[in-house]
Amino acid sequence: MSDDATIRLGTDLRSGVTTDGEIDSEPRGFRVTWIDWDSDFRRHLRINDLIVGVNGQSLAQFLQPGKMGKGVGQPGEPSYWADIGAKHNDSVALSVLRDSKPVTVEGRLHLEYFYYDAQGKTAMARGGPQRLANDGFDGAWSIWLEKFVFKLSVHFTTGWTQRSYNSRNELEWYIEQKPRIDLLLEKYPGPFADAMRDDWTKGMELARGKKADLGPAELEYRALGARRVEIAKAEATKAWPAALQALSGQTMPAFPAPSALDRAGAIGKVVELPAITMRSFLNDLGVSFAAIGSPSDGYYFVLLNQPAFRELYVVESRYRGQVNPRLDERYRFIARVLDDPQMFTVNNRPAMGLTVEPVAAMVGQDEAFIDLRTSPPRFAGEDVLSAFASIVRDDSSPASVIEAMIQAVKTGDDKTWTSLFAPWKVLSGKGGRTIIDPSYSADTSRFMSDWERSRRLIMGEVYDARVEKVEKVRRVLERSPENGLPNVDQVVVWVDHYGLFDGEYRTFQNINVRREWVLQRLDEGPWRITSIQSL
Amino acid sequence: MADYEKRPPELSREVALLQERALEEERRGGPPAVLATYVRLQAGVATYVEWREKALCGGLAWLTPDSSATAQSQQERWTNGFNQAGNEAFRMLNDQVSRDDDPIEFTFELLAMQESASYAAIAGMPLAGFVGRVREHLRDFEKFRKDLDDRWKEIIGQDERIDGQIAGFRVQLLEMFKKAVADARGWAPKMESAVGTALLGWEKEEEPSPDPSLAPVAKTAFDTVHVLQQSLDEITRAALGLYANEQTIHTMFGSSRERLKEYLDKVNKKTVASAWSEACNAARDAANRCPKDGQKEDARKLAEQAIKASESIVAEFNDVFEDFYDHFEGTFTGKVSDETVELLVEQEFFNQFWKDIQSLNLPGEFQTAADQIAKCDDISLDRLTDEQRRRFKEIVRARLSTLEEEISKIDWSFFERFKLQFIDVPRGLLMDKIKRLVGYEE
Repeated sequence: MSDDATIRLGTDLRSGVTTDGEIDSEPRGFRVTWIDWDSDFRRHLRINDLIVGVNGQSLAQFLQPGKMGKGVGQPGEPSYWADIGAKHNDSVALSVLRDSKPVTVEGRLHLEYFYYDAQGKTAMARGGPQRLANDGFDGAWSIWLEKFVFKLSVHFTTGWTQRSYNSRNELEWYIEQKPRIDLLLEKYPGPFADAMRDDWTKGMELARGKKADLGPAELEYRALGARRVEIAKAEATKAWPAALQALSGQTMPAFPAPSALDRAGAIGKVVELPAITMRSFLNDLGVSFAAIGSPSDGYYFVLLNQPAFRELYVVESRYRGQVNPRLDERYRFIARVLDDPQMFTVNNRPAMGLTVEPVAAMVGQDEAFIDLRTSPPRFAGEDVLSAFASIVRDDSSPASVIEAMIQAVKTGDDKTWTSLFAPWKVLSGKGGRTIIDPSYSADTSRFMSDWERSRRLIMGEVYDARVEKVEKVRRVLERSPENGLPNVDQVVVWVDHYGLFDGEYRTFQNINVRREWVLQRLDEGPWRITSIQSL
Repeated sequence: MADYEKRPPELSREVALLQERALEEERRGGPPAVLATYVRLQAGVATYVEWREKALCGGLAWLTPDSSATAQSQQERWTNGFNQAGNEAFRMLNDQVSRDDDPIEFTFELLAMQESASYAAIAGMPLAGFVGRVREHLRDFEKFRKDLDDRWKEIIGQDERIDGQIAGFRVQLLEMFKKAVADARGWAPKMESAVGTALLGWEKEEEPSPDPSLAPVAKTAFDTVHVLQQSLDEITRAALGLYANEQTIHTMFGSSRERLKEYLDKVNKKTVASAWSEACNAARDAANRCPKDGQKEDARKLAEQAIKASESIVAEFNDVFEDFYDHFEGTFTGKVSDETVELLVEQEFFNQFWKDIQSLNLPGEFQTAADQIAKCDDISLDRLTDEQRRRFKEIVRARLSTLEEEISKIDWSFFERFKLQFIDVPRGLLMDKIKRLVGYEE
């Protein structure tokens, strides 16, 4: 830009870039937090780039406490440019780390710009708007731009990482700015208006969140305990009599149970047995079995180590994971009488009875019908209900541990969820050193409240949660056998939460959800979540 | 004197070293060493040491199982208890220096981590879990003992009920045999009387037939033999049904022995000794995971005390196991004893029964009857003419010889077959099966 009536040049040489000095982490550098609309660096530099050098020279001299002022993007940068002999319109090459990869970015420096409009009033850009005018809006353009830049700078940098950031509130703010942007484009067309529109659009899209298509399978978990149970129950209600009908040629009345000594006519027959609870599950000399009957009517025994029962257990576990984790432990069996009389101790008395092999079972309050005649056995309604994607848990992967945590919250599996948290605590000593308490044991009440909160979230405003990114693994404590200390590695995993907004599933952030998850591992062991927190 | 005395001097030494370093700094022109600081720190260490002593001694109490202890509950008490102690130790030592700077703070941070690590190591000692597991076994043995006592009574009771039904058959059989003998003994007199009656007819008439008076006697003899054969077959069939029931009872007895064997294969003096040895080794290994020598020595001492404390439950287990094994030896444990076999099969009773049958000498009685029938023609025929005498003898001889022939034709193998089917084979099979039942043997 040339010096004319609508633009005058100041005396300080500027890059038009704003940065934060980062000296607490490696590598050190100047993090780009904003690039002015009229900066030449807008062409190639990006917000969040880490500037580590200029023209091949390191900036390490400035990356120390109390010495950052002259760094690139800092208030005192004109002194630095002067020191290296740079002039207006000189091109400099910035050494930059972008997503940890080195990049060289060129841009021209410029003397400070002062804009005027046709009336010679100080303006935001050539031709206006005037800095102190408001064009009917609340607040002058100069104040608006200051706030606009501040907001967008935060949004583009740390916004989504801060718990205080509320993406949907910010989206509303962007929508509120639309009249200003429209007016700029209409009344003051030019590079400034275009830059404002581009920044506004980008910021608004960021606040709107990433879109995801969540199909019935992804959302099926929300019906856990309600619609899915109803579907399964309806299917079970039909399946039980159908199974009895199909076996009608082989059935006999269950009670009085045939005597073990006079069983020939009963062998191979099918009986419909009454419901039992866990109280009927007993152990005899180390063998587990269920006793169904009474001293007066006689007993049938279901051995729990028989293949049919093991298959039943597998399907039941699947039902708990897929439909209702709180399925009652109540069982009804349709079973085939075996030629295997047994004498077990039932209610402290020896009882003779015939063993039976379950052919089908109804588990819970007539909720899950499991047909053991099919191979592999399935529960009624399993074909109708969408199956959740199974998570293959790999504790050597931080992302996998977080995915397992999310899945556990979705399926109501509090045991798995609890097992994913670290039974140790790494903290920062008064002097900033990392210290570890290896015998740390978490307060169990914390587990309970955060678990319940997580469940409320996943059944409420959070429709899905996915791992967004995994940061680089850092070693926060070196192994020291003489002090009993293990290697401690730490990693941050960022999680996206999806909500439902105007019929679309989009990521969002607010005080209720936790995007940042810190995981640690000891001596290359399994990754565990370090702080008990809700989803 | 303190039980765990090796670690405290190390802690005091660390404070002394801090003090020496501060004095050295002072000598080199550094800031003056504030001796009160080190007095305070030593006092803090002494407080911690006193607390530590109580924590370690008190922890041994977590080895004492209550009556409902399980491996899990007992180990959780121990692990959680020592982890909480470690947590507290970590906090206490860090709090001691909340107002101090390095190097004091650094040293106490290290001490806190070392102490916490040592409690974590102790928390990992598995002896409490072992003690809880043995307590579970002891409860099992107590329950099994009652269950098996009741079961044995039930098995014997059921067996006796069936034997009672079989005994009914035995009485029936004996009666039948006795009746057959009595019948056979009556055949000759009856025949003699019949021949006499026929002779009277001959004396009065010219050509009377002796047949009508001889025929019913011959039929009675044939019927006795036939009914005997048929009844033996029926009774044998019915008895075999009862034997099957008896066998079911024996199978259930065998299943109980087998289940107990599976349990005792896993839970016996050897496996418990081996588990104890593993737990002891693991406790010693855990002690060695403590970072500092003094901690190691104290933790080893704690481990040895824990091992000593767990000895009694191993001894208790061995006593209970032996008592259990001896109590059921011959029935549910060890080889099935002859006494058990006899109780279940009652072979002696059957042997006696057969002796009773044999003493009736049924074949002998039948032969005697036949011989006596043969003598029925030695009757005085003085009042008949010579011709009548010749013809009468011919007719009687013919009838008697037919009867003799029928009696002599009786196949006495059915008698042996009955013994085989009713006694020898089924009782032998039962006995053989019972003797071969699988069971736990020391």
